[in-house]
Amino acid sequence: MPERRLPEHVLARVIHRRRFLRDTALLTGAAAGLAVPAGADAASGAASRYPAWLRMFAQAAQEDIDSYTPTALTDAEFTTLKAAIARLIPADELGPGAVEAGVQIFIDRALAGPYAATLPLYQAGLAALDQAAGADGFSGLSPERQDELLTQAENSEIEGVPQGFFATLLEHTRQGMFGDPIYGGNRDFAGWDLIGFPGIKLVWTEADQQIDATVTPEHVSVERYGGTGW
Amino acid sequence: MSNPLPKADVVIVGLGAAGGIAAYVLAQAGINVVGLEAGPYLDKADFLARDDEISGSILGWTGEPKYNKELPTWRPDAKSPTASPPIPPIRMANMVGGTSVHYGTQSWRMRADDFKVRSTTIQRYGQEAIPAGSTVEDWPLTYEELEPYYDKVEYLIGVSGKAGNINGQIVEGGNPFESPRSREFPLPPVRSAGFTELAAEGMRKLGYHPFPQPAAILSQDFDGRPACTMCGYCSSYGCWNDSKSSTLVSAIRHAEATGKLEIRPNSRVMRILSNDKGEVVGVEYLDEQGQLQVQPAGVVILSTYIYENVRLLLLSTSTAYPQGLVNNNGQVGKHYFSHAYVGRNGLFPGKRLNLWGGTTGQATAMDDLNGDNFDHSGLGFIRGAVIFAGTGALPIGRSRTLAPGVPQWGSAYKQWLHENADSVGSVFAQVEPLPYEFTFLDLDPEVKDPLGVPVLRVTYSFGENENLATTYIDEKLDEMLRAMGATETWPSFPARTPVPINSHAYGGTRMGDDPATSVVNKYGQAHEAPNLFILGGSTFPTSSGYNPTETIEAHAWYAAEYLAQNLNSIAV
Ligand SMILES: Cc1cc2nc3c(=O)[nH]c(=O)nc-3n(C[C@H](O)[C@H](O)[C@H](O)COP(=O)(O)OP(=O)(O)OC[C@H]3O[C@@H](n4cnc5c(N)ncnc54)[C@H](O)[C@@H]3O)c2cc1C
Repeated sequence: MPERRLPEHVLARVIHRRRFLRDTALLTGAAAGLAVPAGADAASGAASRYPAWLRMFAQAAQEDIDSYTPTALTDAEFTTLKAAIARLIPADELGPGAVEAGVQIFIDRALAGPYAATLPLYQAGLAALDQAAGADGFSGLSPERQDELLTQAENSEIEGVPQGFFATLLEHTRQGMFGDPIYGGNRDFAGWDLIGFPGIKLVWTEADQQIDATVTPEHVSVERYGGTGW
Repeated sequence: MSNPLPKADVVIVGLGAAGGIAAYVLAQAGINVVGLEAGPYLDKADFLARDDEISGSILGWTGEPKYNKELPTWRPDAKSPTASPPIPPIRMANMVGGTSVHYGTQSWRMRADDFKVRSTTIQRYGQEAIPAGSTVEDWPLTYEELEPYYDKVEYLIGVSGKAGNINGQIVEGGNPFESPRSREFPLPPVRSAGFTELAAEGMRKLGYHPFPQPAAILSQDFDGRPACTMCGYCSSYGCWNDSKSSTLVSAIRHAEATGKLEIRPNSRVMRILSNDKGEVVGVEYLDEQGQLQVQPAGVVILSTYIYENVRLLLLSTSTAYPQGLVNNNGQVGKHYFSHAYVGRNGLFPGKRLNLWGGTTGQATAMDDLNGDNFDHSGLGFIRGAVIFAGTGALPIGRSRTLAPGVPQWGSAYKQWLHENADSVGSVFAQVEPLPYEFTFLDLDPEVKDPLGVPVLRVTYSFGENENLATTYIDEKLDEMLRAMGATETWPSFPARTPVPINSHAYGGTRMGDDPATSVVNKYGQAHEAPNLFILGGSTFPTSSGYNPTETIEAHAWYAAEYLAQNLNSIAV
């Protein structure tokens, strides 16, 4: 069955991405405290109404995994975070794990933005993991020992690990791993490939929707359509 | 505060599903309407740029302008302190088109007996079948009265489906339980998918009567809008293709084209104003620049969704209404209830279900266990549920959908997801709950929104009726999934668990003939102030099992038509 041609407005968007540039400019303007001009068009009115977390993910997908400097967490906290999420979704024969996919960048950005309210939970939880690990800290332990500690944290058996820390960390790790790459995680679509999600695929044919039909991964992020990560 | 603006014939507060339809009907009748909408005016390109699960399902960007910041608080009963609800609040949208922009498009008519729950229950099972403490009443309106308006809505916005009963004739392929419709749907049903066919087979094996779920999404091009391409980003997402039949791209677009509707986006109404005679005279709102404005009006239509409808009434006190607007009878906030949900996942090992694509509108539905379509003798509860199985799954959601006993993390977790993420299919039920004396809405005495305005407080729990009904339906879902070939099943949404703050919430400004036990009449017109109309689920005496929006829209049309015909005698 022939693929439906994408509607004109989508093509226009993909090619020119004018609104993307305009939105970004507006967001930056809002960040600098500039008022959006009265009578500006509807979308610009909208931009001024949306929250600061819109900006927090800008460029997250471009950040270098190895040299990324955390903004919400300290370097030490970030090291512990990475060690923990590397066990939650490890690199193995099935492919990259959370760290290789950049999930730590998603979490750090989110803690500086929409998840700012959970920053204290992270600070306390990560510190408690380090405390329980002893002299070398959590990141200095063997993977087996790390798994033991994480299991204890999951079962609320470590002193100082706040209620809800483990569940929150796990949920955020999943969000980063399986969310759109524009948020900094799911690099090279590692999370989506793992579970067979083909990426944003605007047209699903009747054949694609049959049981056991093969659907080729398209590896499309919302970035292609002017998404800025919000 | 600025000087009052020029008086409008009618001001509509909130241009969502209800307000959008009302705006259309009034503008078509040549009446000058000002639409004040708290959210922005967006379009399909804005929605395409937000086809991502973090901004949509998780952060709920559509509710950021307002709804997310004023979520009602909850307590189980009037003696308990507020607590976090057992299921997190389901979020509405703030924008022109309202939540119809990001809804799931399931588009249902209620059936004749759904309008008469009290009387039909007593007739069939006796007075004692009405659960203790329930304040359930019949609607002051019948299916027959509303049928022409359902029809008008379906043909205006574009609803896809297969009729099951045209003027009393049962039609093959549709819902055999539906009440008579005057003609076929304007569009054929949304096509089936492998999984919806599997579901239909399973239901048939058990003797049920599955049919394609009616949906307010285009199965074919319609009214200058293209057919749905099944992108999968549907419920909680705006449609990038204008295929979803929101009021934004249907009623409001046409209303604006008449030149009679002036839309003021980013305009949040703070109070409804009334005079000493108890008449409504206009509204006070914060405009796009954050300035307080007074907009005088001959008639005010309040259509801001249930929680804000009730909150604005309670906040709009005056000399004539010391306990809140049109609340001298103390009925505002009473008879609250919220749709009950039950869902189950089933594992279909080794099968790739290809559920990532689709739309929430693409589903197999059945009505055999809905309303009074089955004998409730000895079951201990009344009413039932609409049940459906559909497509559309997103990756973060799937990363949490694990069979019991599967590790939550580590390599074994990865392995299980790799093998099974697209082998889980679900069935879902919406169970009809009842209002009770102990379920109501009022202002929270402590919690305020960022502008310092008290938020609403929800006092809500299930009665035993709802506990038994959800448990019964849950068992049926398990049977159904197994008949479809699932090897194991587990709850996606547990029985006996209310959703206190919901997108299908009802009551608070109930409609009725008796001004002592209701707030509005069958036209949505306030008993105490006849130039105030209140629209939406807040007026529903009962909900049926179905999703509410098409009934909200049909009723909005019915009410707005009555207003248009009687404007001169109603307006102040
Ligand atoms: C995720 C999701 C999926 C859904 N799926 C379905 C479905 O498949 N089928 C179905 O039938 N229903 C569905 N619903 C429910 C459906 O969205 C509602 O029934 C419907 O939108 C209610 O219509 P309404 O006009 O009362 O409210 P809304 O459509 O929410 O409109 C209210 C409008 O009022 C505005 N407003 C609020 N306060 C103010 C104020 N103070 N001043 C000015 N404006 C204000 C809001 O910004 C909003 O635009 C779904 C809801 C959600 C959240």
